[in-house]
Amino acid sequence: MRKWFVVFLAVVGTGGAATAGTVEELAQTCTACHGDSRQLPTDPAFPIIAGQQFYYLYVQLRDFASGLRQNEIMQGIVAGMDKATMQAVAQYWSEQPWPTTAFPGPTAEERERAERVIASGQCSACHLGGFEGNSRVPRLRNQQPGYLEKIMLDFKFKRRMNAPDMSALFTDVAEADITALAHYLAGL
Amino acid sequence: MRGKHVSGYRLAGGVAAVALVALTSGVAAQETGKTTLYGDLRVVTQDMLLRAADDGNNFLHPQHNYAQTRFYPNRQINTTNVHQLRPAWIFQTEVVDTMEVAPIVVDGVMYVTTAFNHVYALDAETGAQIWHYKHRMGPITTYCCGPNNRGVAVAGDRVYMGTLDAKLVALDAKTGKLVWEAEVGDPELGYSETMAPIVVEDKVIIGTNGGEYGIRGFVKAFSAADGKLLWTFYTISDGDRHLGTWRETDPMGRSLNRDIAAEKKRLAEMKAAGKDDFWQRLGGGVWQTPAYDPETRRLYFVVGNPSPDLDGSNRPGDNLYTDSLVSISVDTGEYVCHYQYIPHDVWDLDAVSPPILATVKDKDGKEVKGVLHGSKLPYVFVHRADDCSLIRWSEPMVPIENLWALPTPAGTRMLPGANGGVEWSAMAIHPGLHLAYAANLHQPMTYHVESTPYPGGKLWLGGAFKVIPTEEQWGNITAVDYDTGKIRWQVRTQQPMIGGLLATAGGLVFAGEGNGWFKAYDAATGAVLWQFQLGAGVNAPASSYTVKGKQYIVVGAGGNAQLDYKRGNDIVAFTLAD
Ligand code: HEC
Ligand code: HEC
Repeated sequence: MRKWFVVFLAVVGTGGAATAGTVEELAQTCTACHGDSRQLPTDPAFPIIAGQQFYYLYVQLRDFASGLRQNEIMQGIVAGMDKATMQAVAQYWSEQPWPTTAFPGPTAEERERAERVIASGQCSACHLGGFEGNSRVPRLRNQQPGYLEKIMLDFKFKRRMNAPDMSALFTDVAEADITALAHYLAGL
Repeated sequence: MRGKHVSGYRLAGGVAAVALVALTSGVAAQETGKTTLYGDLRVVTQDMLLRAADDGNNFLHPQHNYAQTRFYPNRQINTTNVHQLRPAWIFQTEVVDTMEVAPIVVDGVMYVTTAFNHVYALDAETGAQIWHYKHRMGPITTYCCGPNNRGVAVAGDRVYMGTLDAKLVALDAKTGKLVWEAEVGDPELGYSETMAPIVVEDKVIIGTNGGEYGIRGFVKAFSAADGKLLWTFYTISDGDRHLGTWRETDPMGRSLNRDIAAEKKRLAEMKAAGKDDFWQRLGGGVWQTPAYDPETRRLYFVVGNPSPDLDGSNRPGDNLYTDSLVSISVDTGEYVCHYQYIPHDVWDLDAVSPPILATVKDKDGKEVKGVLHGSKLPYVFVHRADDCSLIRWSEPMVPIENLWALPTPAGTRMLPGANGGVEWSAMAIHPGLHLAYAANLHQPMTYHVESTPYPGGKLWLGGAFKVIPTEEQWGNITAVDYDTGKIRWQVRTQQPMIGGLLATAGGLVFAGEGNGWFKAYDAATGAVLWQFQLGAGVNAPASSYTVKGKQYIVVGAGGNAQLDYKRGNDIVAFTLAD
């Protein structure tokens, strides 16, 4: 695995912009878990990254590298990656279209719960009306429900520590509300 | 290029003065249009900017004039005929998202902006597009409360706009081509621009947002000619000045529940550890355009909350000049005076709505130059302009409960909620009636604190604000007599109000609502005289202007990100049916 990065770095380091081929090769290694524009991630708890906001992706890679966001798999993957590489691969993924999804969406009861939390937490002030995100704020619309649920629980129980205010927001959101939110956002 | 520009400036300057003398002398002046023999009125001279208050043809400043009264002087549309108001044209922008723009009109040409920094020049008579500028947004933006923009400043033959990626751009008013671009702040650290700048002579002046991200706030002046930085006033003072006087009460003398001993102890610890540089991340954004007093050459603006919003544990002292009215010199950016509403704020009940300069009665009933500010708190504050001191405050405009209860981890309910009172919405005044009109929110919230270290440019509220979903929310428009502080009239609205107002010499006040209604009220009584449904949230302040003898009212209907009102993309101009 490491070799990819060395080759890649050499290109970035000398020429400024890497050739499309090399970024694609690096991105190939992500597809195994994250899927791409045509296929969903292999595990329900893995996030879609194709079509995600550039700056959000980059910041997450940076935070995995610094240990601010903890995840064994991803920390292994970014180990040794430099800033330029992270930016290039984030750029690549942000330019891919979001895959077509058909998540079932919430039950009527879940919808009501989700809408209440969304109004109370003023989520759309940052994630925007359609939950498409912008720049450092991630897209949530049609994200994998399993991942959404896991990550909101990680915020709530202070396992994900790189966004203190998202943690604070979820501190007293009930677990059932989080499940409802995950289904609601996935099914938008 | 520059030489030509300067001579054009002079020529039109003299002309504008002539045209405006005619204007103030009666209705005939409404005929003054682009058919004038006197030259190119599209070049906005300093003279025009100074006399904007009496200019019924144009709407040259986001708040109509340097004093920011939002009082439009023509009365063709008035209380007796406003029921005949009909749409003249509708323009649809490319961006269906939150809209807070105050349309600017120069000699029949209108400039409007949208979310994500598009600018359109439109024919103000027909709504036809003249040009469209789309800012090349950098990949990094960090903003709060929606990708908003509140409009442009016009001067000379240029149009100026601040951007979400913290740039200031100068465009050619005729073509929309970029003339220069300057960096105002670093978006990676949380700086962004949503306010309309203000131009005074050779300077373009703009503040910054970022109080939710641990910035150090400022107001900066750039050279209008080339974008060179001329001066910076930091809203967070260095040295020990930001500590202030350790005031324990609000302006009315009620306890803020500060633990001054604990704050001083924390400060001593930080000093001993060499870590008392918290002022570099103490916030203090400036959300709205400053007012300008040409007689004293001073700017007046209000400064937003300290960072982190809800957690005061690592920012001892009064956190000056957060939550304050501040006056500085337009020439040098030097401090003149301030008044702080809430020292050491932990509720984000900050100062946002643009201040207004007006003649007011002081405590002895003597007329003095005053400054009005509609606050989240929820009062209209009346100050002396010379030393910023407080003369009076109005009756409260929305309910106050459990005031200054400290935020807790589980959440404390306190009214008003963190959006106010009056949010960024500009007030308008009617100088004849001595009334100030304010758009208010009643939005019950709980305040939660959770102390976290500075997250390096990420959102840093130090907790959370939560709207209480089971409680009723509403809004109102309140007319306050600024010479007495008494509420003259108040009209309840279905939803919390955000967007701002326009008052006119026709005895009208215009305001939009989140549910799509755009209404005209009787300025003296608050009676609803006209309403029109626009199909998306009307959460931007209206403007008015006259072309070929016809008065228009124009407003944006794009909804609002912060309060999640239905988004749209319409700019709608109204005029009287024939
Ligand atoms: C072996 C599986 C695996 C591979 C390969 C992998 N990832 Fe991940 N990635 C994950 C998992 C699991 C998570 C979720 C971490 C968590 O739950 O906090 C994740 C999270 C992320 C996130 C955060 C997304 C979000 O919405 O917050 C980014 C960005 C990311 N990965 C980028 C990449 C990139 C770029 C590559 C290729 C260079 C890559 N990943 C390769 C498993 C993988
Ligand atoms: C004040 C702005 C703001 C508000 C309000 C807000 N968020 Fe966020 N949210 C963010 C930012 C910024 C991030 C990215 C944090 C980071 O950089 O790691 C984020 C991240 C997230 C993530 C992680 C996504 C991923 O791919 O890992 C989820 C899920 C989320 N927010 C859900 C919500 C929900 C649900 C609400 C309302 C209850 C909400 N947010 C309210 C700004 C906000």
